[in-house]
Amino acid sequence: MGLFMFWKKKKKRPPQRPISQLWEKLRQSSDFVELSFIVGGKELSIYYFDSLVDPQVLQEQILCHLQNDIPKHPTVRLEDLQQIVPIQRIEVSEDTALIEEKVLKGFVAVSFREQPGKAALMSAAAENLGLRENNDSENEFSVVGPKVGFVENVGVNLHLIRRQVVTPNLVFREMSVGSVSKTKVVIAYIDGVANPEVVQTVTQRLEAIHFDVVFDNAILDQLLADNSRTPFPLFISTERIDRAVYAIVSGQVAIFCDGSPYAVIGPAALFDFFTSPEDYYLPWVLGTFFRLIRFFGVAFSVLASPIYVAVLTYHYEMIPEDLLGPIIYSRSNVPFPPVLEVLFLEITIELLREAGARLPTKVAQTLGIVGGIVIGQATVDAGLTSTILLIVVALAALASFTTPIFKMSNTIRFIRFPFILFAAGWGGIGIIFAVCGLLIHLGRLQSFGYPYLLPFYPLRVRNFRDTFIRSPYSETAERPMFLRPRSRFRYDPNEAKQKRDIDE
Amino acid sequence: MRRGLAWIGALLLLSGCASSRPIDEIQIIQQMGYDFENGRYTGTAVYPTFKQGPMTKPNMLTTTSPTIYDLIPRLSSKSALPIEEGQLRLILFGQEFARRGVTQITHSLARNNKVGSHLLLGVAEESARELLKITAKTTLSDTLYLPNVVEQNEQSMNLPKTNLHLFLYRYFSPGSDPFLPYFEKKGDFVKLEGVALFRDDKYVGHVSLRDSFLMKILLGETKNGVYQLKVGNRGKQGEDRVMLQNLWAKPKYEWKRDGSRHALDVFVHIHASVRDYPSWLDHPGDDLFDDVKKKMENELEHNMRRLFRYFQKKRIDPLGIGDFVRSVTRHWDPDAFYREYPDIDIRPHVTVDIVHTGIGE
Repeated sequence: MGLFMFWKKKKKRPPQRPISQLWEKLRQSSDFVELSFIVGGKELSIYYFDSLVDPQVLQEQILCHLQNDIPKHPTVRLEDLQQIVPIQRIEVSEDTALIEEKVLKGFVAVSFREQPGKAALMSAAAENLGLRENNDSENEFSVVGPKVGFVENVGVNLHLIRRQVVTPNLVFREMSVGSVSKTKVVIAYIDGVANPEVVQTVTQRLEAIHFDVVFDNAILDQLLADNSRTPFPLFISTERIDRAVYAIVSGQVAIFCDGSPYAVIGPAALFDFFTSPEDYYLPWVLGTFFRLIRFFGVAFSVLASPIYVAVLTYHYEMIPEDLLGPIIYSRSNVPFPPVLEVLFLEITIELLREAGARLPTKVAQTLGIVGGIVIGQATVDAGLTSTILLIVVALAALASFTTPIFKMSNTIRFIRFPFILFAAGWGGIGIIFAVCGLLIHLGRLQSFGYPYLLPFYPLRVRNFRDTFIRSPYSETAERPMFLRPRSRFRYDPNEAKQKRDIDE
Repeated sequence: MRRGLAWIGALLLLSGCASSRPIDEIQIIQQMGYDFENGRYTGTAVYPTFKQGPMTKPNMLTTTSPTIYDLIPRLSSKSALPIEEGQLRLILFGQEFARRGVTQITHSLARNNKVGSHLLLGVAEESARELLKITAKTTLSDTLYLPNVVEQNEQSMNLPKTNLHLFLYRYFSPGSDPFLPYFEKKGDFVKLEGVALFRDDKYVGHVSLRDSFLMKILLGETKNGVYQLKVGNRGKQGEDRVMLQNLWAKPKYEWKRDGSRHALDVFVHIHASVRDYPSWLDHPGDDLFDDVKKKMENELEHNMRRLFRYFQKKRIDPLGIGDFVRSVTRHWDPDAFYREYPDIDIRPHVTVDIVHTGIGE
């Protein structure tokens, strides 16, 4: 509360405030350090946060040079410190607010007695202190392809992007979001490829965000979303470099945020969430096949248990005669109607998954196996569920995990429940009703103003090359036109189609 | 928000209107038999119970009533669970019942949306109840013995395709009459005997399984069926027949005016393989099969003529000749056609192509 009030007050006050008052305030923290000493007849003071600066930089680059070189230049002013101290971009400022912000970000402020109210700001921030050095992209794993993922340090992430997008057109636009966290947020896009309107939208939305602490990009994701009441993720969030680079090159915009190992990519269409970078590393026939398997998995995951409920409750006529025996037999001891049976088992599986996600990795694996086998077997033996349903639910859960983007697989597991309830209420008609409702909802969604169901609604037949099927690279030179990129081709389409079997 | 709540409320209220029938809380009947005995109708339902395992012996419910419509409600009064006919696979009519007409049943089936049009119908030589009792007793694991017999014979043997859909089509069509599989009780077994023939909805007679092969190839393109033919009188008993297996056969009809009366030319082309034949036919060098082929064609033509005469005498048209004639006649008059029908000169012309001989595909 107090902290919050402080920021509010600051806004109302005129920016100029004696610098001594600032130091006074900062002195309340025990990690704030103030050094004053006289060297070469000059009285200088150094202010910094012990917890934010790198001691090695402070000693070797700043203190050492200040103490050794100032006596040689007796007339040195704050503005001339760049000549002495080997630190990049030394800034001299009288703006108390700026000094305060910089010091809070890990800068060292140096001031001379003879130039009161002014301070030279030198960056000595321990950028990587306490952060991971590398990330094996464990949550979006692929067998083939690079394993390096983004890390919490946004500088490293930008470095990783620029290493692969070697063009002067790659633009990083930095801004600060969060009234307390002052998180560094970077928009990355290729100038001349990304549609300026999208860049404009992203910038505007980021500027309009009022929030205190941005813990993760996922929060930005929600704050940027066009519709906050949908269970569907409207932007891709990825920790894979290849996916982010591919998006940037296709004309999408990536948003990085300090402290988050995820990049948020938009505008995204529904079908982007079911493509995996691995599709592009396998031959296109295999890539297409696995992509189709994934789509089937989604449909199966959403519809399998609702169909079980609908058929067993309302449409016994539909059951093939050979399945009649096994189904009735396995249901004969179950005391619940099919809905409760399904909900019971679905919730059990969700509990297992949730528990597995909260527990330490090693325990989680054991729990998953033991829980899955023991509980599954025991519920069937106890006559609480039927064996066939156990298979259906387990397969549906398995199928939902084929979705490469975690957010989407959560959504798929969630929308299964309304489907089950509709199936329980009206049988097959209920399922159709729910599917229609889902399609209407998807048709109304937008991602940065772009329809979510592109290229299916509105229909863009030419861009089907990279949706259900992953076409060979000779066919995918054109960028998806629904993103309205400024430049049409990723690479020369004619060169890509040429066969060089003679002049090898 | 209020609109959303109203929607959810309406949906919840509506869901009370749906009648749920969880699969383990209904009595699914798979086969049904209808008989007419001593002035009363008898209904027999065969239902499976799966309490002990996925496969069990079928059980039976029987009831009698003076009317047909009353049978299922009366069966219900003997059943612990509500009877549902949505999984019906076969309806068997006793011969006596079939003689009196089956419209009451088929008309109701035609409008019943629970029953698929793939439902099989059949006629039992005596009582449908007896027949179902035998199948329920003798078949332990296969609850659908009779439907499987019919399907198997339609797919690979001589029985022409029949089901509720085709029955209704032929029944309602002015140019054809329906037919159904015909079962007989042989001791403790049930045997498919041939095809039961109907005039409108009334049973009038049947043809043997052998003749049903002729019906099958005369009805349209077919790819299966076997026919045993006598080809000579040399050698011992059993040494004078060949087994003809149909590989592909197609009939072609031509409707002509021949003087004062009409004539129908029927061309049948059979691509066949001779699966079994006497050893004396197997002489390398001489082309004995040419002779055999002629004999086969003659015998097939002879039997077809006999079959057509039988149909004409009974004044039934299971082959749908009326439908064919209608398709080539302007202002076809069914009454006039069927007045003339017994006198039409039907001339079968059979061509047999022996594609290969011996066992082997």
